[in-house]
Amino acid sequence: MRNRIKEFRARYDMTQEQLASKVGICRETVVYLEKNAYNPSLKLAHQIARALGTTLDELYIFDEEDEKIK
Amino acid sequence: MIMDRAIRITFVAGFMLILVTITMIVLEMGGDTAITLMISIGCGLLFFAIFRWRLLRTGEIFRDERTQKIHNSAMAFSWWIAYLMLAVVTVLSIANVIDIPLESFTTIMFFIMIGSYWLFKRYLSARGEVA
Repeated sequence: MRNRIKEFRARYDMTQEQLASKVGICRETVVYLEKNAYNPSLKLAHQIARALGTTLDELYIFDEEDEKIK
Repeated sequence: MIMDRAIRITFVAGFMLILVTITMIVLEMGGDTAITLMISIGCGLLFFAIFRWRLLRTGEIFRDERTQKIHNSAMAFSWWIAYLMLAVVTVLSIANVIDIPLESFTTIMFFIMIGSYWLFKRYLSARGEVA
């Protein structure tokens, strides 16, 4: 799963620190999310989407690989 | 600012341990190693609680779902290392290969558990994903 957090954050001219404090997470978590190194829980994914004024569908990109049931 | 529950428990545990150690010293109970170890753990817990409390006061967020997962995994790994160590030492002791006093073994385990937890935490933090 990939995401467009960095892109949306730039749109609102928001720093990683500001997004982190708005959602209530550590700044490092935002760093790992933007690097696609960490997959958030559904709850956190939803909170981030809300903080960036968008939806889950817009913010997260599910690859075909993700849709395959392992 | 009010301490959160985990910090309060850590603080009370550290304080109680130091109190028990002082009582043991006054009543001349326990060996030097046990007293040193207990006072070290007590001071460590107190220091840790105060450090986390100060972080909380600055408003910095230091625990979220990722760090919680890292903490849980590191604790589990550390527990397994301790369990394996215990199993190996027990087998070697029964086979009379090693003869290790309980106090020395407890001291070794104390540092192994803290050290392995710290190492795993660093490793998982650097990796990002904790699945």
